[in-house]
Amino acid sequence: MKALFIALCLLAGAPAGPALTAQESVTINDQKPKKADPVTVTFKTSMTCKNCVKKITENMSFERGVLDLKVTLDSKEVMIKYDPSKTDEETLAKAIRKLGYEAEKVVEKK
Amino acid sequence: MALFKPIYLRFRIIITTLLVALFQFPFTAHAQQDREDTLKATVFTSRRQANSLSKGKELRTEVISSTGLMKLACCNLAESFENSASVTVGYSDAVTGARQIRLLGLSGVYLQMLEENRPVMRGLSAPFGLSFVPGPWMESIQIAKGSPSVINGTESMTGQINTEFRKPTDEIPLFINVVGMTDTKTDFNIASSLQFGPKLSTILLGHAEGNFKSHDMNMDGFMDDPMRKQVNVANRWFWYTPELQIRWGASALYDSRLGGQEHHGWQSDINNTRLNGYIKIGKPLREDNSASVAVIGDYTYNNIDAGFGTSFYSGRQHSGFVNLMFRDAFSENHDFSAGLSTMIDSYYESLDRYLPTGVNNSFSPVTTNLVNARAYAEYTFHQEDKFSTIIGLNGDWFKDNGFRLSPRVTLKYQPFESVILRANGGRGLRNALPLVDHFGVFSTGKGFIGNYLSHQLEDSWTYGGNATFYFHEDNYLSLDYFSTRFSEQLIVDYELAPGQIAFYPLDGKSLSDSYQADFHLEPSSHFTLDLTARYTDARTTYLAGGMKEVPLTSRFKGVLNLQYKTNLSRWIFDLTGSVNGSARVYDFMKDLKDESGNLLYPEGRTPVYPLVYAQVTRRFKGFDIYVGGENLTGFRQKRVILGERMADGMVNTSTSDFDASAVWGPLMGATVYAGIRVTIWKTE
Repeated sequence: MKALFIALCLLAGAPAGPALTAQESVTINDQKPKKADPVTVTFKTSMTCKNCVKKITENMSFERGVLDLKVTLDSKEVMIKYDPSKTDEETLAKAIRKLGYEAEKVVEKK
Repeated sequence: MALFKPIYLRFRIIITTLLVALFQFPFTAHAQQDREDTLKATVFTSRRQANSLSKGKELRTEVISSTGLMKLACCNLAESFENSASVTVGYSDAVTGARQIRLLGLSGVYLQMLEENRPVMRGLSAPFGLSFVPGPWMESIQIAKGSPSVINGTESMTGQINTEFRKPTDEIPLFINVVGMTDTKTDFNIASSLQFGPKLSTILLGHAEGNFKSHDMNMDGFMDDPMRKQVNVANRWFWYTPELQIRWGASALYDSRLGGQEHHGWQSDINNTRLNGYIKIGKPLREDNSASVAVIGDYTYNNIDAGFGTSFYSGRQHSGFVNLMFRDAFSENHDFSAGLSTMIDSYYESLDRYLPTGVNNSFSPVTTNLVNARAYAEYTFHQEDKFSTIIGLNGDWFKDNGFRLSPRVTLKYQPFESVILRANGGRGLRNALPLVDHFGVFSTGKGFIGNYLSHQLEDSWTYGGNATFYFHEDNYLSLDYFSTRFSEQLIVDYELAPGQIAFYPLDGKSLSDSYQADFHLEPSSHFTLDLTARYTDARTTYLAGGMKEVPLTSRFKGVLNLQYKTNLSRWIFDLTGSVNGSARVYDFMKDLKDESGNLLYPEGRTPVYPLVYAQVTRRFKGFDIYVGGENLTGFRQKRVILGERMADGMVNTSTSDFDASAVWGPLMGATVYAGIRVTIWKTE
């Protein structure tokens, strides 16, 4: 029974295999996905202490798409450089808020 | 391979169990993938160096941060100092696993140990106390050299080590650390910080350790490390309002260790129990917190039952400590603190020591009450960041020694942004506990003579200075010199008479001069280099032989620590190497020979030896995995167990020559370890 189950799983995946390979080969041969230029965003947060810096650093460093991170307690700002093909400002803001801090985007004055 | 299999299986079971138990938490480690697209990702924070000198403190203070604690296996407080040149770690003897440390060339008994500014590790908990503080419980360690503030008393004769623990306010509802070593020692740690609103928080800490197998790698018939079990739990609370802060907590520990000859003969069987409860209350007297009153109360119970061959030592200790403090920063430049404090120690000890040689050092249960009451005051002057001074005065009354006045002065001058100069001096006082302070004496066949029951008041003056030069941000070169001079000291002399250990009061000079240079370099955000060199000259006047170098105290030590971190600290590589200088051996060790008939200690000195530690850490969101090695050169002290050899090559433990306390180097060869740290952060 167990062997049958495994065999069925393999068979279910088999027809998709060549199709996927073909799809990939079409993609590879035709056009590689272009890496987007990194984008920088700064958030104003509600952090109050060094523990807050540690919490944000330890967690945001591992968020998908984050390339660079600067957490400054004095100004309560978090500067993030990210790959826009993997994440966006809203996702990053949500991640900070999930940690328990406010996250308002800082708009640079021209 | 057979050795690894049971360890691997146990490790796998533990990890599987933990992962199943953690399933309910927001645990996203499985979603994390390596990001090959990262372009020189860097993390700029108020980044904490692993080991650093504090810029702000008036006293020369080395800080080992949480980053530094994670460089090594750091299973407990003793091992946390392995990459510090300021503090030297060693063993009291070769059988009990008791660790001892040295600062400024002097025994750790002259250091004051603090746990979040409460005196700890005193009396009966001193011999094993360093093993009773689990490394993963700690957040940081501050090592202050010289004569620190009078606020915590004057038992800090050479310096002070303060450990900061994980806090109830840490937003980490679960932290787990498990590490296993090739010598089968396994540690398990758990911490949980919980907040009940903005005012009340708590942390639960748990630790368990043990080893599954004993080893005798040097084939001397004695276990290299005792078989041990330890369970340690603590609970701390924090109540905060702007008008009142209260911290309180309790802890309980049980530790047992069986060492010595594995299958028969001489064994050490030691059981420690410790209970502690404390409370700290702080109340601001002004809204801006420039004036406050605080009271600290602490109670500790220690019980030790220790068997050594045919001898048996039993000790019970009740210690109570109260400190009432008042502080007023009455202007921007002036700060004043004053207080009253008392420390009461009650010891109940007995010793059955009938040696096969006919020596009888036994004594019936005796109760000793040591009472100290003191008043203190401290004035601090700040001139912006340029100049500050702390002048303290402590008036102690000792129950059997009367009144003593202890001044302490610290100066800090910063002529330029990049240069800090410090000077410090003061008096230190403590009651000696002859047998407990020198616990290794029990691991011998020698008789005790002299004042081994005397709780003499030891008196010293320590002074010194430090110059630190900063360049290019946080890089620095630090030079310091400290000197300690004893006017009263209990001397423990292994060389006065053959087969005996003599205890007597100092008659003459006893001093220690320590010179140290520290160099810290961060050429990039990924790479850190720390290089430290220390030279110590410790000499004491002995009844026979006059002023001589203190035995088994290394003259010099050099430590090099390298750390490389990849982008976002995903991978961390640590390498620590040290060179440990020679020490004078006891006279009765000078003629010792190795298996080939060569003198082990030519010129009566130990060899210079290296120690190498390395660790690789891989970090993920929520957990770290680390693998490392200790004493990778495999250097071990030869002929650790001294005494007359029998026909089978084993040491005869029934003679007065038997001595397992003459330890100057590593007892264990190379060991490898692997561990995992899981950190679950609080989320909305």
